[in-house]
Amino acid sequence: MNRFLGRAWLPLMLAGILWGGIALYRDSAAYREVKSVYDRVASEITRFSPGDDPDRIYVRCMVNKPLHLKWQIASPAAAHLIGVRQGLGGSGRATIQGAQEVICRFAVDLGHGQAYQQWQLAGSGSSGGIEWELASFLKRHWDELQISVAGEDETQAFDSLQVIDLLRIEFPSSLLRTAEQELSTPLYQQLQSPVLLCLGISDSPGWQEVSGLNDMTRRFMNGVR
Amino acid sequence: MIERPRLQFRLGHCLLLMTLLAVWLADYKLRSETARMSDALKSYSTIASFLVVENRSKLQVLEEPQLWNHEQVWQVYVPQPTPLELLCVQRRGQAQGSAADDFRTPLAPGRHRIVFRHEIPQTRRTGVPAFAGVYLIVDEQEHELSLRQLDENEMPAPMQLSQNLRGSTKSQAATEPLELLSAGPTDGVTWKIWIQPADAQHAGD
Repeated sequence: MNRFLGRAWLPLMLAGILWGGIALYRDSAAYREVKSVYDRVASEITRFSPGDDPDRIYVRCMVNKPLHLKWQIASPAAAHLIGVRQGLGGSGRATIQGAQEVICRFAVDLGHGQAYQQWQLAGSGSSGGIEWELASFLKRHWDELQISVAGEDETQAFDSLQVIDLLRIEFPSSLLRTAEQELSTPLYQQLQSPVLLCLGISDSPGWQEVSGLNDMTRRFMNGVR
Repeated sequence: MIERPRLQFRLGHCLLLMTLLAVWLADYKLRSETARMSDALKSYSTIASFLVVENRSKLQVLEEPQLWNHEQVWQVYVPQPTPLELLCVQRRGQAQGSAADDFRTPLAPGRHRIVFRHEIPQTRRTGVPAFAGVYLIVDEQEHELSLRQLDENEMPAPMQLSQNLRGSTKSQAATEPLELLSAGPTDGVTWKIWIQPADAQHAGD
């Protein structure tokens, strides 16, 4: 018995190693395949780690590329939220009825002589065009824009009574001077108020303190309260 | 003197046993890591879509949820070693004859990203020329399929993009043609995009 085992072990083990080698080769191809996607995703998407305090709203910007931003928002108390947007040729608002997890998005798409914009607050959103001259002006001067994004570096916890600026794009006066020369008057006037995407509960006193709102947005705000 | 061969015999087997364990342990680690990354990718699906290749011998297509009305995006995995090609066919109605500007490009094994865009103006200003264009972007390489200057005040209707796969993944044998899009008629033109084996006849006709 011992002698038989002594003889059989060697081919058995060699076969096992060979088989393992083949499995390793095949599985490593599958591994590389998934890893290549995973590495790209890990650099594009961040981690959302909200808490569970009902007096807080947690915000994390999950996708932050030029002209495409996406936030994940958690409201443990499932508050009724209002989202307001302003800028790039219009204003609007959306109501989010008591959801605990909300996704918001702002995106601009530059095509061939056409530009598109899209705002999304939870399920409801709006999309439309932006004047090509305005869109390409902003693209050219992207580095001069003062852009602040909520939850950019980590999951941010806000007081649930606060109105959160998910996105605020301000135009510095030096850029406005350039815009006055390069753009037509109606387009230049669109840069007089910041591009905004705000979120807060409907009866928050914070709505009165949001800065940079233009008349059109204020009319929407009056609809809010 | 009897002990020596016994020792040699054991050492050799020990080494082989260790190699065997190492190979299988490495394989186990590799597989568990692959599974972990696949699960993580699936959990990200509410934020962004990624094609997770489940079967490396099949042609797999993920239709991304539509971000823009004028754009449709697919992620494609082409298995080894089947040579495939991507075809885009535009067919005019009978009124304008049957002129065909077919576009075809080979798809090498691996991953591809295909974007179909129908760009039309959202706003018009008098005196400013406007265009309606159809573009196909294959792995960042853009191809203009059609471009037409619009008449003054003409506002073309957006193309109804079909969402054949409804934002899901389709997996099938690479020997069969796989239709990605069938749209139109828009401006009297119908559009069809599909993937098929490189040597096949037009499967979409």
